[in-house]
Amino acid sequence: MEINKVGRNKIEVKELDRTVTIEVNRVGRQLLVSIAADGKVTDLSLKHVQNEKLIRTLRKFGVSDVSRVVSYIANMTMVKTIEAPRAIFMNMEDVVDVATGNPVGQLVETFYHTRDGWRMYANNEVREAYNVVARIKNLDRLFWHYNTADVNYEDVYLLADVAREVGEVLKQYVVLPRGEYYDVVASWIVLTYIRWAAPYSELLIIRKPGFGQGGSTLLKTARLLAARPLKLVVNSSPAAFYRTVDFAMPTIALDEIREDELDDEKLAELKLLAESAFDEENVVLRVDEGEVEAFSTFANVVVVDSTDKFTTYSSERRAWVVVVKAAAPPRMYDRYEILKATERLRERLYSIGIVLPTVFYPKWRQLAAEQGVGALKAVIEIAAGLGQDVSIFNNALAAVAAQLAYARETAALSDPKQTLVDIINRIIHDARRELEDAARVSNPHEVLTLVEPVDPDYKCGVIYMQKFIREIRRRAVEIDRIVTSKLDSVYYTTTEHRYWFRIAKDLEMYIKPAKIKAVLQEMDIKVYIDQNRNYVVRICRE
Amino acid sequence: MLAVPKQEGLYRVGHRYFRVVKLFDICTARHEEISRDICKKIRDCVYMGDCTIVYRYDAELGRAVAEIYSEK
Repeated sequence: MEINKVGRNKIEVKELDRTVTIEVNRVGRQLLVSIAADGKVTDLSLKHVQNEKLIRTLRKFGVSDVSRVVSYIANMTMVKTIEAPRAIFMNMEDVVDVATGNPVGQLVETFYHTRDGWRMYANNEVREAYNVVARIKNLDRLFWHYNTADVNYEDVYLLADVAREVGEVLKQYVVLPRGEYYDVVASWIVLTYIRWAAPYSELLIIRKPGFGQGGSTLLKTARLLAARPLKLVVNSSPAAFYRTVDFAMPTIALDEIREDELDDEKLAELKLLAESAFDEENVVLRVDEGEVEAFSTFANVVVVDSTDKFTTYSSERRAWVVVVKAAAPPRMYDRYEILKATERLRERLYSIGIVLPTVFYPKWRQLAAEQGVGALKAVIEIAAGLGQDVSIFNNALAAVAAQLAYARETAALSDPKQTLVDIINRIIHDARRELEDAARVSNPHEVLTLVEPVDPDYKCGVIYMQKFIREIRRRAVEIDRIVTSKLDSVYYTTTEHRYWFRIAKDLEMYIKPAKIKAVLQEMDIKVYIDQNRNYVVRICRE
Repeated sequence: MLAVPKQEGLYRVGHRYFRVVKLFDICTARHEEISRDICKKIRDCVYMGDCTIVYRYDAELGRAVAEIYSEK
């Protein structure tokens, strides 16, 4: 007698003259066993496999070694199903030597979902995974393309070629003002296939000086080339949208978000998504069929940001920015042609996306932990280690690193809190200068305007909190001036200069006593109460 | 198939137990062929080359053997 496994829940028992097929399905707590041979089928519903009825039926079908078959079926029914957290996920396990109890290696298994079910990639081999349950259907309607089943280790040696090819496709369809932008977009596209394994994903922001500059063409082309591109965004119901994003970690392309075209709720939702998509740990909570569920918002997001909705300081720190330029004659975007021409390219990219983080797991994990450029650095290091030409990635890294450094340097411009901290620092610096001057000159009381000395040597002093806040407000003021004679208005017959004083709009929300106290605390400056019950900030010269 | 070492022994990966056995110390082509044939007859067995096979223990048996190992 010979037993062959023909499927996850199906075996074939070969006797001398006949073949018996046994299939087991679990329905609730019951097992449904179908035994078939010579066109005759018997179905049994059982609670346990070790059942008299089953043994008798097997004997009836002429199975000689019944106990072996029963133990085999028992083994089959024990397979536990895994609820898949995502369309691609990794399983890490230590290989432990039982004799010593020491780990001797690590097994990294990557499960990924394809149109034909689940696959598992481990140790340079792809196998079908039967015990994983997906929560998603209708892939064709949701994505332009999806994970491919074939994964081959050799594909990582083609990483540089693939990146170059992506760059060439881009050059064919869009015009960018600077050469390195092609490398930035190509690298971003290649990384969309690998970022499922990274803790952060970077936003690709497409800037353009006005309409008709080719921003949408770049957006659509980049979307088609990137991993698991979602077909629609704006008008989907939130529940469906979050569920898809949660499961598939797709590429989401947002075009021309304009406040007047979208209702507030939807806009807020898209902004929240784009702002929170960068971190793998971020989730949104939603009530789904009466139960609270957490959906991950981790995704690859590309936006055309002509209205600067996404240009905030927090997004600047992890955004890659490219600027587009109008082409003459304009380039035509052709979805059908791009999809057809890049089929093999996409297959390779999906394959690389599975293999690279799985095989080079320790290095990948260590380098990809950096926000902004970590994943790119990891790809450069791994590809260079395989002896490949990484010039495209290096160019992109140089360009992006410069952008991120610029965002850091100019943080005060886009970060009003930083401006407030600068103002407070300047006030304290001025107060110290006053104390130093007061100790030097003969008329100290004329020098001291901000600070009240607390000792005769002018070593230390206090600034009353009210005065402190007034001073901050004064320094945060911006002034507008008009010369009335230059106005067209008929009401002004004489030349007159008029001034408006107002607190800078960005700073307004920070200039409140509670917020100033909090900022002072962050700067390690304490507020005291003096004997007259006034709040004061204490300052001493060095 | 698995990232287990080629040294003989019992290895645990999560809840799965694997036994690595070197069937012949002197491994000629004939020995390799025999090893491969033996492996084909064992369920969940993979031939690792060099007359070494690795196969999966049933969970219960694996635990039992591991217990004996740890007592040693």
